[in-house]
Formats: sequence, C-alpha cells, structure tokens
Amino acid sequence: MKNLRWFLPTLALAALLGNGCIITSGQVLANFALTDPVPIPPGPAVWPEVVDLNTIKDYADNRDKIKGLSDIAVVGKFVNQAGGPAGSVEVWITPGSTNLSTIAGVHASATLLWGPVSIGAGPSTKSINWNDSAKLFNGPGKQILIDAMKGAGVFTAYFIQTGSGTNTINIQKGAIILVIAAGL
Amino acid sequence: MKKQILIGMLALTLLPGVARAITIGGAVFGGTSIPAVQDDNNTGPMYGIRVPVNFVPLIAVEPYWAETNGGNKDYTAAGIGYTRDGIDMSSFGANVLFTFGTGVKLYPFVGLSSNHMTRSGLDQSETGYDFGVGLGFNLPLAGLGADIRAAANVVTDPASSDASRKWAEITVGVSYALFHSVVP
Repeated sequence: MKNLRWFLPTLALAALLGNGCIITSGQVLANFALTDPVPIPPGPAVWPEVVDLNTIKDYADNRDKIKGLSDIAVVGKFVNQAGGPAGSVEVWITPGSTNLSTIAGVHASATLLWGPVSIGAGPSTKSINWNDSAKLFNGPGKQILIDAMKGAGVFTAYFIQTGSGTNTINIQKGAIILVIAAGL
Repeated sequence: MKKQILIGMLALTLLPGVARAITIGGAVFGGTSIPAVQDDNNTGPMYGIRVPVNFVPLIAVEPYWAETNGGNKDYTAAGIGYTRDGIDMSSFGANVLFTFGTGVKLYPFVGLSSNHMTRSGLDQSETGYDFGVGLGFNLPLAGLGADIRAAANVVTDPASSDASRKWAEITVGVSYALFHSVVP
C-alpha cells in the first residue's frame, strides 16, 4: 500500500508529461500596429493592409512552436469625420499579400474576419476595446489567420465600410492584438 | 469526463483486501489561483467545496466543485492601454489523495476535471489535470480538520489540443467528517 501511494501519483504525472507535452506550452501576447491612421474610404474602395507577423519579435521568437490562437482583437479609435453619415466597418482577410481594390472584389476573394462595428454620424469617435472586439470575430476568417500564423506569417487585412458611407472613417492608433498558444 | 471520474472512484472501491471503513466528509475551501505563462490572464480568487470519501485506509477520493475568477490583464498596443477580462472558470472533478503520516498528514494528489472557461469571446469546456500536495491536521473539535494545499491545474487550451492553460492554486480548507461506517 505504501508503494502504491507513491506509484500512482508518479504514474499520473508521467502520463501527463508524456501526453504530447501540453504542459510545456503557454500564451504569448503580441501586437501588430496598423498604419496610423487607417483611412477606410467610402465604397466601393477598400483599404488593404498587408500584415507581416514576422516583424513582431514575440511572433518571430515563437513561430516554429505555434500551436494555436488563444485570443485576438482589432482595437483602436474609430473616427467618423464631420459630415459623414453613420456607418459600419468590417475587416476581411486573404492569405499572403494581395491587392484587391473594390468591395466587390473583397467579397468575391476574401473572407470576413471581424465586424461589423457601427459608428455614429460624424463627427464621432468610437473606441473599440479588447473585450468588445473579441466577440466580433468570424470563425472561417479566424482560421485563415491561424493558418497564416502557422505558415509564412503574412496575410492581408481589408478594411471596408458597409452601407452608404460617403466619408472616410479613420482608425487612429489601431492594432491587432494576438495571444499565441505556443510551445515553450 | 464525469463517467471517467465515477469509474475511477468505483475502481478504488474494488482494491482487494483493504476495505475497512467508509468515511464521507464535507469541506469548503478558498484561496488564490495564479496563471502560469498566460500573458492574457491574471491572478484571482478561487473557492469551492469538496466531498472527501475514504474507501480504503490512507487513500481518499474527493469530488469537488470550484469557481475561479480570473484577474483582469492590462496591455498597451499602439500607445493605447487596454484591459482584458480575466478567464472565469467553473470546475467539476475528482482528486485521489494518498495520505502519509498521522496527526499532521501529508498527501500528494492527482485528479481529473471538467473546466468551463468564460470571458468575452470565450465560452468553452475543456479537460483538466490536477496534481499537488496538501498538509492536513485535525482541529480540536471531533471530526473537524483543516488543510493547506498547493496544486497545479493544467487545462487543455480551447485554441489547441496541443497546448494548455495552467494555474498554480494555493488554498486553505476546513473539513468535517459527516459520516463514518465500519465495514466488517
């Protein structure tokens, strides 16, 4: 019985450590600063932002050990200029570096990643925080981002206005926050 | 998960030739939960109840329920400070305790649990593995005891089955022997 009392917990711990080493992993924060400001034009134009994650040290340091994406957010101050009608913003994604120029082209070739987030008639500013942003992700688009993270680390984010906006909406001090599940 | 726990408890009752008595207790505990290698989560309080059941001498099976309130995490991206809600977690599981000593008792333990994690953008249940060590002693009132425990809770990361979220847990508990029966 005495031996059993040591043997069983040791066996359980050994099984855990040997189980794909999930214990030797963690959640690493990284962020990609967007162009400041991101000028989202009225439709049918779009704003493409090529995101090269390799420029982020925390990503580059863990690139070969990435296991998944634990959390993500698009954050910043969304500013509708004076005179602009109320509108909303979406972010679409393609793998790699692409250059689509119209909303129709984005709808045809990209995948919805995030949004929509609505903003009142100008002049108005809406700050998107991490908690609000985390709820706005679309599963298929998020999967493309995960695949990009595990691959070359490059994707293109397309910022578009939905509705009949006729004014540029700016995102000031925008960023994409990533929480990377990575091996240690 | 619940089925695995019940099967494990049943298996312990079938250990040959060692059954002497059954003692069932009730316990409440509280303490702190410290995320390990989680950049997006913070320390918070935890509390819960345990039902220690001794089927065989020096070995106890202990179903438990625990509630953890993760602390918020502050992070700056592109010059703006953001706060991410911590991960709240409801856990149900069972530990097996292996007791050494009389008077002051030392007991390593291992266990399995189901963990429901929630925060904005996260609402998912995952399997967890517990292991740790406790120190228990009797209080000067019949049937009453107290303990202090240090444990690790390793829960599969909802983002990837190859990664985990880990917490170090320090708790203090008070228990009472509710039922005791000698088996001939």
